[in-house]
Amino acid sequence: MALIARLGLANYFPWERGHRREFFRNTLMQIYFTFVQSTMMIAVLGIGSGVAIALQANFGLALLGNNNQLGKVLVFIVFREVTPLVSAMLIIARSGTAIAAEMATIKFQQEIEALNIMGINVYHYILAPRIVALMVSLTCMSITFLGFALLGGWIGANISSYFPLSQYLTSVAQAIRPADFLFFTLKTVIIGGVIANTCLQRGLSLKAAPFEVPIVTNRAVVDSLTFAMGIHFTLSVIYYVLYGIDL
Amino acid sequence: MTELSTGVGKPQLELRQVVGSSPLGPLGNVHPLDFALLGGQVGVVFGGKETSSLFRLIMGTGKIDQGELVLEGTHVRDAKSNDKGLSAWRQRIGFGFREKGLLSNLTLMDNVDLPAKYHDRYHEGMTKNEIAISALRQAGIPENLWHVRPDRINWEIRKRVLLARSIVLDPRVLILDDPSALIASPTMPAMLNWLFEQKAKGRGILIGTNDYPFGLAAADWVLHPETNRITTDYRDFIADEWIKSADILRALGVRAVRKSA
Repeated sequence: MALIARLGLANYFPWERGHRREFFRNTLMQIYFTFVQSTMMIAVLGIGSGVAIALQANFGLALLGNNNQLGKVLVFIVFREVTPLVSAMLIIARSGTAIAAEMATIKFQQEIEALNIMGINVYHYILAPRIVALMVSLTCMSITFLGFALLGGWIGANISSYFPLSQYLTSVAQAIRPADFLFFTLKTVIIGGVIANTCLQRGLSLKAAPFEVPIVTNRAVVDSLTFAMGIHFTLSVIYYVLYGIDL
Repeated sequence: MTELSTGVGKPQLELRQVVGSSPLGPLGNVHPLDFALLGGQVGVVFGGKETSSLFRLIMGTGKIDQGELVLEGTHVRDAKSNDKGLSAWRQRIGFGFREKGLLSNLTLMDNVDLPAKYHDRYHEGMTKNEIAISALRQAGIPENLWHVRPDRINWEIRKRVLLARSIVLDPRVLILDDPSALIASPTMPAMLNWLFEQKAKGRGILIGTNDYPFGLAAADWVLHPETNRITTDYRDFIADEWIKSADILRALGVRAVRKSA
């Protein structure tokens, strides 16, 4: 507690009952908009990606005469790389743009100033719920995407040849290392937080006029994509440096 | 009527020789701001940008270079020394925005209720939304509009919701930015009535407006635009026609008070 106060972080945490209630309400609402409402889209994208990757991988592996490696290929491509990145792109396209445009609009409508003047902490009420919600949502979206992508992978594997589910799951499970879970969580949580923060900052950078809304939204998308790619690439490099490429 | 009686009561808001600035511009550079607003008193500041700038300064968003700003014995510099202090300062002042400031994703009821909920003003034994309902009723918002969002209602109702929200924390001081703006002439007496009700509750009310009849009809004193000091004789800078219009409006407002009583 003392450390939090000393670092000046107390401002970011809703300590009081009324503040906490509004923080949780806004966080849950944002999770609903970001994750729950996009579940169908994630499912379709996940299955589609899984089918496509498995089909391609299966053809390639068949040429090499080594179909048993399909699980490993899926873990390499889907679990480590595609899932966090596709989920991040989805969240930027759906929620990042919405958050940036919302922030710009509410700033223009003096809603931020109104909150400040009413003694309502904008961090507790606006910023922190969105950051936490996007961190949670990106993790949940990635898990959902991964689940459907693996399902799609199995369907794709069975299009060209027979691949029993048990064999498929075993090959996937054998390819996953404990560190994969850690890096998967790190990637989704950090990227989610950075996307939220970038979109909030760019949205709130609106100066005065409504014509700036598309400009700041556009900037939010480009910057979020750049940061997301950068973080993803950096964490992947760290992973492979630490654990090597296990072929 | 050329002389207005200054109200009686304790000083609630005091500006002592203040020179400063807010995000909207500098203040009191030529003549420092110097006035005290007592409980149950209405002070009026005529002007545009300077008024908004003064109000932001009072709400703690500006910088004081010289002088003192005191709210019920608390200095703004002490309040601004930490976030809790500043939040407490702002909770003691009700601020009525000119036209914007309602949260577009909340209903009128939720907009008015938000400060009460956030600052935990509901206690055991109170009914749901009791504080907000009382404020909405006082501002004359029809019950069928309580659960609609601001984009569904006209500007006059939005304005009245902003006024309702300004009293929801039961502040000692009310600052109203152009309270008569967007209010249609037939409902102006009711608006004055609302203002007189707040005054009767002992709130100190500071109004910024360009509407001379409304401002003078409500005022106990006026801030002289050149000296930045309180005056009750404003014939040197306000035309007689405006003063006569103010007398008519005040009479209508008083009649509205009697009617509602």
